[in-house]
Amino acid sequence: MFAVIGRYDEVFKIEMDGWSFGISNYPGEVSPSIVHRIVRELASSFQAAIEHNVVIDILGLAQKFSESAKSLLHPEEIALAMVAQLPNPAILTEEQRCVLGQVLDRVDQAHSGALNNFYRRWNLGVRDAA
Amino acid sequence: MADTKIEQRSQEHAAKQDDLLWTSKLAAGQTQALAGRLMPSLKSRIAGILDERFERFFKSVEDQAAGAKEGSSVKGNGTETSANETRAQPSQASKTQDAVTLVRGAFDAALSEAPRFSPQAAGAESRDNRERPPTQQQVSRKQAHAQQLVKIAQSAQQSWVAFAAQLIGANLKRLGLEPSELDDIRLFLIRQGAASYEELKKLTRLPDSLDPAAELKALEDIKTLMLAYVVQATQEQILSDLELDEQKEPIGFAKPIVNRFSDIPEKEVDPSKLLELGLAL
Repeated sequence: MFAVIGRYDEVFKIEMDGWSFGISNYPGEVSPSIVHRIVRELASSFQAAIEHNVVIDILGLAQKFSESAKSLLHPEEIALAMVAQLPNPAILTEEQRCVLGQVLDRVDQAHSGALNNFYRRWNLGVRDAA
Repeated sequence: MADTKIEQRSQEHAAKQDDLLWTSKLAAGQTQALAGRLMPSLKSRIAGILDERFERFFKSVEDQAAGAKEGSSVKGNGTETSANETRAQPSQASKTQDAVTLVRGAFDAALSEAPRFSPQAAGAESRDNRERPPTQQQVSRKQAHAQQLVKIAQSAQQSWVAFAAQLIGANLKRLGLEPSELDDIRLFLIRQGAASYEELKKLTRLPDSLDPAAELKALEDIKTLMLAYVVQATQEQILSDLELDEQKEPIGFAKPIVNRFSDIPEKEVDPSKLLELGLAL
């Protein structure tokens, strides 16, 4: 377990709470595509969190987003979409990869087989980057 | 025996390699997606693949239909076949050909007829009508024709999108695309179709669900709400942190920062005197 750098876990929590607040308090109609768009916006936040050694609770976050969107999307779908936004291990340090591994392990335990799908993405990403 | 197995395996391996090559070519777009530049390259690749696949699909269907027609005409000239076969083949071929003709015809009809429903064209029509007013029967026939065309165009567009989505789903799932990304592509295809109709003045504007600008606006609104929450929460956290720090260890701000006038004793001022002074000035 690595120490969180600069209390970033609190910053991250506030940001994620902010997003779920935004979704639940949006006066218009929230469509699935908007939720997915928001999830895609989180890519940089996820990367920053992992770079600060924050073990993101993807499942909890997905559950929260699903509730904010009035169960418009299943938490599993949001969780898998979030995993797709995690940074490519090729651009991370050893320490950050361990943190990423911890994040992924939680998701894999809940939704087994999901990792194989994403491993292919990353593998292709690594090959292309090389 | 062993040689045959080895050959079979090498063939399988070669097929896998080809498959991998194809997927890796497509995956270049996906790698860009990981870097945050998802859609443009992926879209163009998909569009390219679809164009090619569509051409191949239409050609194969047309060939099949033509072959079946020829076959049936030969059979009609005296070739011996079973009665069932003769009945089944042309009907299936004609069905597929009908489907293709319908889709193509609907698009052609939409393309050729659409300008007639543009505001400019409508204005021109109304001017013509002033000169020679149409009968009630003509108007109702025109309206029915227009409705029919819209229906055909809609069904053609839907079938085109469904077909394209099916192709994408079958080919790109192997790459581990997310449902959201597939949805994006589907939406992109629908938008493409809708935009072409918009260009033809068939639609005055895109519905909100298909309008990327509306979606972006929603995203911006939610982002604003998020930022408002973050600002408030951060302030509260800073304050609570300060309180915690004060409990632990009082913060020794330099006096001038806290209040640079704190050393000056306060004086009681009579408002009526102040007013008099003001008037005198």
